[in-house]
Amino acid sequence: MRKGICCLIAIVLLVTLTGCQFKDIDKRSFVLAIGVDRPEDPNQRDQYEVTLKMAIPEGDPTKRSQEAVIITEIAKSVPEAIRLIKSKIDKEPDFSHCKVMVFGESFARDNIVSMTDWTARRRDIQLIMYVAVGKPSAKEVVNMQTKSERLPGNALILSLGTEGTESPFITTIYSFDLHRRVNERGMDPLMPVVEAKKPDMLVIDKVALFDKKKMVSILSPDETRMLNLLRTRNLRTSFHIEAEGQKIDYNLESSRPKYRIKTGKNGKAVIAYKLSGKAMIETNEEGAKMDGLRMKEASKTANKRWEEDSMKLLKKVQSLGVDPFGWGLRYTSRNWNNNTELKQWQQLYPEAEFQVKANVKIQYSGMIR
Amino acid sequence: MVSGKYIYYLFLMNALINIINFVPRILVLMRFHGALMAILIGTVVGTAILFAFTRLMSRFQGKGLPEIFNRYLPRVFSVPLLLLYSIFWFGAAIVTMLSFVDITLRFISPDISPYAVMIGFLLLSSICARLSSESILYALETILLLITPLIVYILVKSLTSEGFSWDAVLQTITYLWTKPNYSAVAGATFIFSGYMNLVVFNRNFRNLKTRLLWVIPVTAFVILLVTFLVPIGYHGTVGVEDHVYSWFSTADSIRMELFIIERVLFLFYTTYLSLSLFSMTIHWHVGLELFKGVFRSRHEKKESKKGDWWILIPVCIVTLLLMSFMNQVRLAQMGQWFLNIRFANEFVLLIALYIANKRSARRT
Repeated sequence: MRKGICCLIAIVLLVTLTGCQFKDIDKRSFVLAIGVDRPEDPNQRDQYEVTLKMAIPEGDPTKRSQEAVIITEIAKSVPEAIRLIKSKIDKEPDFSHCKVMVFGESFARDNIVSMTDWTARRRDIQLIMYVAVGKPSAKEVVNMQTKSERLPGNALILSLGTEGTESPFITTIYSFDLHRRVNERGMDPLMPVVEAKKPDMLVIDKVALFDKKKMVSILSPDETRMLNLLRTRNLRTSFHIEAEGQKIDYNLESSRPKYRIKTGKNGKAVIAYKLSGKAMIETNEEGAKMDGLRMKEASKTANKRWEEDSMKLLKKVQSLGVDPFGWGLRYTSRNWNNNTELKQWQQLYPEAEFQVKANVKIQYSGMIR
Repeated sequence: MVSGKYIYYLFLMNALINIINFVPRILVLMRFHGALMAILIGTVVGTAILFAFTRLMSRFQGKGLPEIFNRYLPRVFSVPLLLLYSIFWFGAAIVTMLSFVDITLRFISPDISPYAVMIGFLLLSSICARLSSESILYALETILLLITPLIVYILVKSLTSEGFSWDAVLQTITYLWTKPNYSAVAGATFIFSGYMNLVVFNRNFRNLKTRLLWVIPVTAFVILLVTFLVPIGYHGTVGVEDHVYSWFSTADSIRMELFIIERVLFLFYTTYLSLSLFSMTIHWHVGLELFKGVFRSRHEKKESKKGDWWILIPVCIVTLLLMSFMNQVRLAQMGQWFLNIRFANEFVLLIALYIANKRSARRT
């Protein structure tokens, strides 16, 4: 008898433990993307312009009529703006499915720390949310409805991650990574740049480099690809090379960047990169048969190109005074003098030299010779 | 009677539970002030206590702490000691419970009343704690078999994910040669204290001879390193301090691309919910048995379950009262006190057992 009563109580209590916080799914609107800007009005420059892209749950998933609800509001802080947005919509905004956060360019050039704090602090916002810089403004990027978009916000989500398109120009950065980079000693934030191209396109082919707080520079598409090659393994891309009697595009099958920080002869730090990869030929415009010898020649040219391009990029990054690769962290992690190492690195870094040794092997000529 | 392998299960239970809240917190706070050294020292000290304790317990075959104390120690000592330990075990369960209620509110359902969650937890552990020791051990085996693969999956996933920064981990390792403080060492030894539950479960072991006891320190060391270093790999050497529940944030930073749900957080939460509920049940059970031991006379051997609810209900009420006065800061403090006292307490227990052992030898 007593056991029965206990079981009953336990079951009744279980009912109260169901999720969804007592609000049914049809009374919620799911925020899929947030955009934050500084307002254009010069009198409101210190305020926040928040844009939410929300999806309203529908019963029939086969119907492709899913339209996003987009609301913009200006207020003194982000939470304040969201409370104002709440009074503009009949359904409760739910942030637990928010997958993208876009920082407007004006906002990114100012200070991003308030937002990285907010996203990490809020319990319902995922730490695996994608972050990006929006050009010309976050509002326009979030507002953009591309033709290929089947679900609200999905275009942004698919292109920033690697589930959909896999472009070598897109750098994927998660919000936990951004939060870490903002705080870490010897590692600086970076984010992909999303451009809204009228009438209905999103272009993501650049990367923005930050010092701890604000954006300092945007790299060109080619530099972005090189940065991705230097940052990640197995970048899916092709490169074009031209040399005497050669006009070849090769496709990278695997790639691997490695680097060490050495001490040079004159006490300077030397950041020595080794890039290795395997590739196959994709086009061969000159039409000469690709035998082993020619492929070897092509590899040589490819290596030279990589070395030159990456050298240029590395020097540019250094001259900007930022550290998206985390060299500082690498240096401090390999040195045991914990009290002085960071200061040492700060002195060494502006003077540091670079070495790049590329070793890409073009091994296959494709289906024809 | 159960076989010797259940010692490993008791150990594994604590080893897995230790990443929830207080242990990673103290280690992360001390990451530049000797946390790594604390792990090394903790492993050595913990292993020493482990060996000494199992050795002593094996002298009292089939006896729990109440029987040993009541028989071989003067009543003046045995009563307060048993009372102290029972409060201590109840305390251990309460600390776990409070932090898991907090986690549930934060990550799963913020609008629900904390009391509803707490009453649910209390009911479950109280009802289960009244089962016989043997069935609890069997249930422990089942639950660990179900859950360990999931935890191994999460761990492998976390170590192979691209967001994991080995440089941050190595940077923390360069702080190895720093003197740790007491709290850090106390935190690091928590992982070993699973075997302490033998104080009651020893009744069910035929013999405590275990051949592979060295597996425990090795596993403990690896798990401690994982506990401490994986959050640093994800949140950076500086940023990791920002996260209140560093392991839950870490789980939230891992992504399962090709699964029904993307967020590892929910998988992590459900696995750890079942684990911690079970650990509460075990602690509840041990606390209950010790408390009952206080009132048992020297030679009585029969088990009775009549008075159980008269003990459990007041403890439940105390838990609810404690919760009403908890907040994030107080909870963290209480957890830290618990870890600190626990470490000192283990030595007291060892000494008491040693004396009991001496006296029993004299008697025979």
